[in-house]
Amino acid sequence: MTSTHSHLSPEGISELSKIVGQAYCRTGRLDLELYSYDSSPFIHFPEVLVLPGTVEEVAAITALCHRRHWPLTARGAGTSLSGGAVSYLGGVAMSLTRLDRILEIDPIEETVLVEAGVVNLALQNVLARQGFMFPPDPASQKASTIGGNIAENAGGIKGVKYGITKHHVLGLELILDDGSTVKTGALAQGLDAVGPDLTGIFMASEGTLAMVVRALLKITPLPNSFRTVSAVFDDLERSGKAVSAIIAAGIIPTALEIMDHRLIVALEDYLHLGFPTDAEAMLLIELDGLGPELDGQYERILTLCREAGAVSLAQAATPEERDKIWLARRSGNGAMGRIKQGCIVQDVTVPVVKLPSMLSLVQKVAKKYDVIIVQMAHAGDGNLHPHLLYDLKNEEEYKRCLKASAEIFREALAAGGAITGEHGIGLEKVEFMNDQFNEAELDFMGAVKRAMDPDGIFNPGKLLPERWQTWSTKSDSSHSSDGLETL
Amino acid sequence: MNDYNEISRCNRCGFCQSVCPTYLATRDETQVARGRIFLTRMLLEGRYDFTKDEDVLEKVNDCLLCQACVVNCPATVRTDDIMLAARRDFMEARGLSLFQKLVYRGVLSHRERLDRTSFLMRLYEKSGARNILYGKTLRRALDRLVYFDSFLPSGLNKPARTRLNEKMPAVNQPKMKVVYFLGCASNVFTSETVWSAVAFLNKLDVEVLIPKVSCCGEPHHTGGDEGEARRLAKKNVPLIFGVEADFIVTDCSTCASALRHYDKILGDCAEAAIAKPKLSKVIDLATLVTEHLKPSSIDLKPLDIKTVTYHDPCHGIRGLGVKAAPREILKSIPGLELKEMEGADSCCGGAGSYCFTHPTMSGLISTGKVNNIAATKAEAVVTSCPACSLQLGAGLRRAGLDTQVAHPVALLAKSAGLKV
Ligand code: SF4
Ligand code: SF4
Repeated sequence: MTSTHSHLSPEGISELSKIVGQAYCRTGRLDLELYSYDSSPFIHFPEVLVLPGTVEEVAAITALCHRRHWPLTARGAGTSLSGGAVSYLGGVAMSLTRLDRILEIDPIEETVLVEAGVVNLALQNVLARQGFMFPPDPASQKASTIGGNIAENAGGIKGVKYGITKHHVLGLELILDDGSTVKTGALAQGLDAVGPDLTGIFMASEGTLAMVVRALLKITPLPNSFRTVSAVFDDLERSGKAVSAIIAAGIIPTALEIMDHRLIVALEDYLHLGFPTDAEAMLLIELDGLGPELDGQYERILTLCREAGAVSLAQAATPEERDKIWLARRSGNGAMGRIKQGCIVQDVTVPVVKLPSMLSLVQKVAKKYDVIIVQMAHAGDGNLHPHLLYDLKNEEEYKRCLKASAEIFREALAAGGAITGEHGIGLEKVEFMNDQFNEAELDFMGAVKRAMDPDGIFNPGKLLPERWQTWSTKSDSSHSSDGLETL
Repeated sequence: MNDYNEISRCNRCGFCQSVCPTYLATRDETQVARGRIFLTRMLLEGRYDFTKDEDVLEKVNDCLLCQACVVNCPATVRTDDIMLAARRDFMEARGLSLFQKLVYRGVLSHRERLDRTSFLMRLYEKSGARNILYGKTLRRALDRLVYFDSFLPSGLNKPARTRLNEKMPAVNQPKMKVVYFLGCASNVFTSETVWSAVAFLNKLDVEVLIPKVSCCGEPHHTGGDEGEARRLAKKNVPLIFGVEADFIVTDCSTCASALRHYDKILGDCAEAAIAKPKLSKVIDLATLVTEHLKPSSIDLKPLDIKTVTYHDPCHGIRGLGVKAAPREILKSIPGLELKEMEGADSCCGGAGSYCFTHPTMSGLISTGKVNNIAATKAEAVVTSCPACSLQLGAGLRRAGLDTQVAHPVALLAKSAGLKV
């Protein structure tokens, strides 16, 4: 069952304009230009941009797109690293950034109800004043929205101990393809929800099944003490071994982050923290919880790092120093611009025991294809973040990066891992879905897509290979400069 | 513009969304550093044209040049410099805008004309014309006019210079000698600050020279009118750097930051050679007081207000790196409590003449700032820039608040019992 998209007519656009108001329905070339990208190398122009200000407007827009068979791609901050937020087939780009209200904090039940466009860090700041946090803290948290975090099932630095987005979403308010509203999980039935966990299927669904407009999130009391350690290694693989040893010892730190030599240099250049710029690798470890219980774990971690070959160990002395260390780590992606402008970011995962060998394998791949690969990793959950860098004007180098990237995907799968931990499939990894899943699994995903979005209006082209998409032909509406970033 | 490398360092991480005031006010990608950088890249790649594309110029001019994105960018992309370069190129391709011709070259470039403007503004207020404007019936129809009117402080004084001599009353055995750079906005809009500052410096045995300088050139520079900025700078150099003095001080953060970076505006010329070795002597008033004068000898009395909050001007905190000095001054005044507002260091939306060229955006940003000020319940908002003072005063007035606006050193002078 497939369907064909239609183009937007002037009448269609004026209908949209009636829903959101003229100021928030735009077809100006600069508006479309500036909503053609996200943080990935993919660039695709929408035909019209809408910025709804209420849930009701989102519902009306969705119903209209459904009636008219227009592709509808929702976006938040536009910080997707896999092309999830770009309008692959043109059509309507819907920015949810104006839906940024924090509706209700319940400190007794430990929940917060938010709209999809609330920025992760803005939420953290409001929660912190009441002694709480929302544990998922993707590096993009300064900009990325809760809606985006759900669409990509974002993880973050604290993932090892606290889990990722899906572990903290209790219920959703959704707009279905025909514009009707439905609630799931605790939003539908209260905290003792019964029946199948329908909230779950929207985690990492990348806006392909329905529009998430509100979410009820589980919040967690802020821990009252921390230990933050940085361990320096003269070899990347050794830092990975320290991670495996810590996990094997049954210690669960809040964060376990690996940074390689080039990243250390770039971040030092940005923030001047006194990072050792001659180190081959640094392991950042954070423990949180109650003071006395931390001391024993802290000592044990120091010993394990030394045994794995750490050449030096240091503890963050003040809360400010700690904040700066994490600001540095979160800035890794943006700081790559200091080295080369073009960047493919991967987020393959492997079982933690395989982490050390995978780190050195990526180094070998870099050598083999003669490209720069900067490595950082949420090491505690085996989530690697190789950044493959290229010169924007060097097409040949870009192609070598793509080959290197494909090899890393294959190696991760061979190691029993996955092609993405938290950045999503988007456009970037669609072709590897066949390697990650077997035919029956993809058929099942396709069936869910058909049930939810038979006409293929929601974010067409993403996540599923073409065979399992619910549209039949790519409309020819795409802009002439669509495709990859200028090369 | 040959900043392609600077521009392409932006890898679109989006972090600037968390600090860019125009984005925070609109949540619109066409109003954020990332979008602005992307557009200038398209300009350089030839997708758009400097000579024709009005819409691109508009976007380039929407930037406040507040530098919040720059200091928060993991790749330290200099969005402010890139926007300046683009404005320069647009200017070269198309000439000055009407506003630039009338206000910058027409008035700011000429000291006497600026003084006359001040006379007209006082006449407007004293004649009662303002009261008519605020009358109920006209008000709605004249919303924009009311907006502009809100910038005019009530009881505007004569220009500062009318009560100052080039060399102030001789100080017996001066401890220090400073050149006081009297900026345009300080001269016209915040005379009391200037008078208090000079009186305070004299009381601390500082000899103050007040040469007849021209505009520092910053408004021309930020508008892309590089030639005029350089001409003004060249005129100023002998007057301020050509005399023997310990410091070149000003109560305006924007002037101070412009003078401190005069080498950028001057380029290669004889004046640059004079200025360069002395650029580090340029200092803002608050820092001069806390770091070089240490006024512990002065007996300070409580003021009639008990609580203040401080607004960091962009050119103070990011242009000069001034953060502690004004706060230290406020804390030194007995009985005065400093209540920090949220986002003290984010741009007030004044941004020189941005408040006049971009009333809608500037008004949006101002509302956010005024809400933050109001939330502290402070009786006065203190800042070290006459343009910020104007913008804050206007925003507070429109919100119907009677929060005072003051310069930290003016409060200090008052607490020291000096009357102006
Ligand atoms: S923070 Fe810097 S690198 Fe990131 S999008 Fe903004 S300007 Fe570009
Ligand atoms: S200088 Fe200020 S207004 Fe301009 S892009 Fe940067 S943060 Fe935004």
